[in-house]
Amino acid sequence: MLLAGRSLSVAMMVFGFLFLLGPILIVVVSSFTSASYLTFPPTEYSVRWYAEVFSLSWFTRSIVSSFVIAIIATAISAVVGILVARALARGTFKAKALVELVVLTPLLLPVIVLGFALFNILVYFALEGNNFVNLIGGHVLITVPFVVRSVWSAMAGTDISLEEASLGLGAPPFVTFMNVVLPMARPGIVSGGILAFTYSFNDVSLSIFLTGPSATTLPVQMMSHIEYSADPTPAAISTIMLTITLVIFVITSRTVGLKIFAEK
Amino acid sequence: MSSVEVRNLVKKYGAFTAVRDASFKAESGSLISILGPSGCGKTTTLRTIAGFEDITSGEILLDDRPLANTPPWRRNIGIVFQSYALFPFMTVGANVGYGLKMRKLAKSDIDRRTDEALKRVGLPDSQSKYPRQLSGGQRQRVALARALVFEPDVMLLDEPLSALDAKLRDEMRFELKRIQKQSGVTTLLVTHDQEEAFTLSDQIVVMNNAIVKQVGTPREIWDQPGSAFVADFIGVENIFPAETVAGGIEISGNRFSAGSPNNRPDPFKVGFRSSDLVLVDADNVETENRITGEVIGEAYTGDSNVYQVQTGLGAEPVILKSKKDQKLHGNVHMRLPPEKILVLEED
Repeated sequence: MLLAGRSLSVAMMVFGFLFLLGPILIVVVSSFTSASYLTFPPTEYSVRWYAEVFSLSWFTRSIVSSFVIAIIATAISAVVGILVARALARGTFKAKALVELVVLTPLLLPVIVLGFALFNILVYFALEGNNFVNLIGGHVLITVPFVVRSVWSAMAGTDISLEEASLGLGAPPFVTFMNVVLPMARPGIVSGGILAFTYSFNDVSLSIFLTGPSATTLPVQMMSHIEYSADPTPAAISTIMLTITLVIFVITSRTVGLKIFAEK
Repeated sequence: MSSVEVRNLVKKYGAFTAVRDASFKAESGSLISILGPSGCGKTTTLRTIAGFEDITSGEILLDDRPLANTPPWRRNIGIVFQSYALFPFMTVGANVGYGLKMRKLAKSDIDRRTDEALKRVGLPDSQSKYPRQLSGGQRQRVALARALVFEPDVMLLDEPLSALDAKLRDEMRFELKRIQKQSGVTTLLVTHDQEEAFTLSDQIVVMNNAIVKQVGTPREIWDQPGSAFVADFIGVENIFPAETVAGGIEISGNRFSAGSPNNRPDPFKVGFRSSDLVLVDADNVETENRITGEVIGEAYTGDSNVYQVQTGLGAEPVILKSKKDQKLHGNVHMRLPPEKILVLEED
């Protein structure tokens, strides 16, 4: 009986992995095809689509702007998110429930609705041409909830006497915030930041309304590429992005550890 | 070192009064305990002295200087929290040196004084360890070192021994006393453990329901608990309502001769310790202050036997303590020496 339960759970695990990773594996393998259309498994292997990717005029431009936008948006989200989380975790003001709702709404709302609304507002104020700024602003909007949530739970779980100890030892509130509150919230800040960065880097539904001639992002460019072409370049780009994600993941696990994703 | 005085302190949270008109004074260099059950307002009192809570009215004086408008980070008060509140991401050395760093001391001075403080609490060479690598008792010592290293005017301890197991608690009680005496810092300790309060303190402030019930030395509180609550809380087992009659007092119609009727509150209760009752023979001719009853329960406590005796004094049985080898059953006769009767204010 116990043995049967054990092999069943092993089977479930294998199935789970296949289900999660199978499609990604197929994309990776088929990106190495030599044919000019996607096949699985490829009849002949080559790296010609990788060469093709780097010759695409939009690739380098959009991957760089995607990175820059994601980094700036994450930084702003982190600052805003930490302050909001602090207020929610320790503040005792009446509008707390309202703030909580407003901050977390972007998580509940379909992003495409948010994007459409944002686009209309920008058009109303004739600001739709500032693609770079708009993209950053939009990404801050949708990533702040991630930071708030994870930092808030880290702060709420911190013993308040640590702060009081710091105050009692002679550290004024701001010094206490920097010396004690932030270090205690660090796991939440790191995991919230990583989530925010990933979300910003991958977003299509919001960015599609905000991109334009002056700035665009990689996922949006891939979408429009897929619209009129069936060549395997998106598979090659996907593989490149996957590699970047894996590298970030490994660096994170080596420096701050993977526990930050599992905790709370 | 400074004296701390709390004068007519009131702390309200909305309609709830946590501390009602509390007054007491800790002389410079002394150790004073606030003793009371949980929720009595003792921790709130401590927190107002630390500056973590505003006061509704009254005064807190540090050497006759009011503290009300001084924020916690300028009060120069060392605090040991119930949870110790050591910074988990800092080493022991950094934890202890934190207060000195905030006072902008030179690095070499911080290191030297941190070393000294850790040596004083019996933890030399632990500077580079992290709090999680220490045992409960060691963490407590680090918390003490951190609170004392910057030579505070006052040290506050919130239930300092409650997180330790019984054996370690006994050991740390002596340590705490030694460290306090050695540093000479005026110390205010909050506890619900009467033994802790009695063994450590120069003065005890007994609180209940937001009110200071009694202030006195351990001896005074032990010998003359002022009210039924204090008597009960410090372990006086037998407490009965009583009234004054000609030549003495009466408990449920039983007359006793007692001390002077002066200063006897009205109404009042009387209390007496189980160990103060004297067993007498049934045929003893002396009948004054005699209590007779029937044994209805017994328990062994190791060095004595404790009996519940149903008597005419009330529905509650009288608790009687006898020597280890003295077995009692059936009817017993006891004498209550007049000088052992404690007159208590009703609560």
